[in-house]
Amino acid sequence: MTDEPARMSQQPDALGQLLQNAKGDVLPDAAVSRVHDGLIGAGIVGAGPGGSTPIPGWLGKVKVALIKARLVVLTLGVVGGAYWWSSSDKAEERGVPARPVPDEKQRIAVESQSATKKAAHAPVSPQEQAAEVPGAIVGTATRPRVETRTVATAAIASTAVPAALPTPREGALLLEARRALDSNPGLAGSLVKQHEREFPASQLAPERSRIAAEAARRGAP
Amino acid sequence: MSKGHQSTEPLQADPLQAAAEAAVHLTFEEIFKAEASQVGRTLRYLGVREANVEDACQEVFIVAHRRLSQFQGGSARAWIRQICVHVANNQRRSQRRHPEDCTADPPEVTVQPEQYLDAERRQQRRQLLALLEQLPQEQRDVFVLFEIEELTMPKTAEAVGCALQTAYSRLYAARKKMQALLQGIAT
Repeated sequence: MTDEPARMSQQPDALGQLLQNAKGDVLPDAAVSRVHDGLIGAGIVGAGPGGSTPIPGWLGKVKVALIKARLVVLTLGVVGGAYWWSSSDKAEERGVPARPVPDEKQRIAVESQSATKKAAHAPVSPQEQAAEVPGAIVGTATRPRVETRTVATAAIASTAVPAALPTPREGALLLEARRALDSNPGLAGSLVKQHEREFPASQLAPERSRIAAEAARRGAP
Repeated sequence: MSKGHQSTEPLQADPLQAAAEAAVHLTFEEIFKAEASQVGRTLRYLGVREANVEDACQEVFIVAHRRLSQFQGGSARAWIRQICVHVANNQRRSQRRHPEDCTADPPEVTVQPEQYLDAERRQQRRQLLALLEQLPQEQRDVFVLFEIEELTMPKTAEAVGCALQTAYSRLYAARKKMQALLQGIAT
């Protein structure tokens, strides 16, 4: 700073006077007000009661970010609500008629196939077998393990409509009857009859007839 | 200091100027209130037409508002003058591309009557502007910022975007030419 040259305005010559005079040549207040009004019009500053207020750049960015976040949350809410509304479980809770007969039938069919596959490897105690088939002879035969079902699915299975898909229970009955052909043809015959009573219009009727014929050939009553 | 310096009286550090150039963070509103009236003077002596001074002044503060986040403190006065130099350069280029049309009727006056200036002061201002018009633009910028706006030489060099020694050279060349022109007028 001390290395600065002296300013010419401090010298008492003609040029110094011109420069000294120029320093007082500022914009009048009216012109400054017009410039300020122009900045207000350009959105640079806001007009407040006590003068304009500055609008920091970071505040504008924060406002834009908040608006974007609100839009994202709103969009997610709309999409989530639509998904919730279209889901069948929620529709049932709201009392909307459920659509589920075809789906339920498909599920029952899958369960039946699963029970059939498990039947060959699932040992069953004699007590369980006796409880499952009234009047059956307790032996060492195995039967398919019937998967746990709800009351609703059991009701659907017992009141099966004609040509309904096989249920796990009827599949298990016929499988039990087939296994009993060698050791106990009478048990096989009774199981076939039980199946015929419970599932008169089952799709497994041909298999049932075949087992019944085989049981009769082996001496079943 | 270079050997070509004409003055041998160094300035003492001005505490008021040092305080004005202290590294403080000002809001845009504070900068506007402090500098608006003086920005008009700066633009006028940097070569902006009188009718365009207010528009140029507004442009300066629009640029300042846009670049306020880049202002890392320091001298707001020098920072604003740096913007003034760029805006004045743009205005001069625009004036060259679109010269003022001469019409039968004078253009509408947009500047308020300067009733607070007496005739002598107005005459001195016109004379100074006429002298500055004859300077090369680089010398004029340095001369105005140092002699009228009283920026320090480092700040002046920073504002015009040249090296410090170059700024000194331009200043002394401008001083020499101004004095010669003034003597020529007197004789």
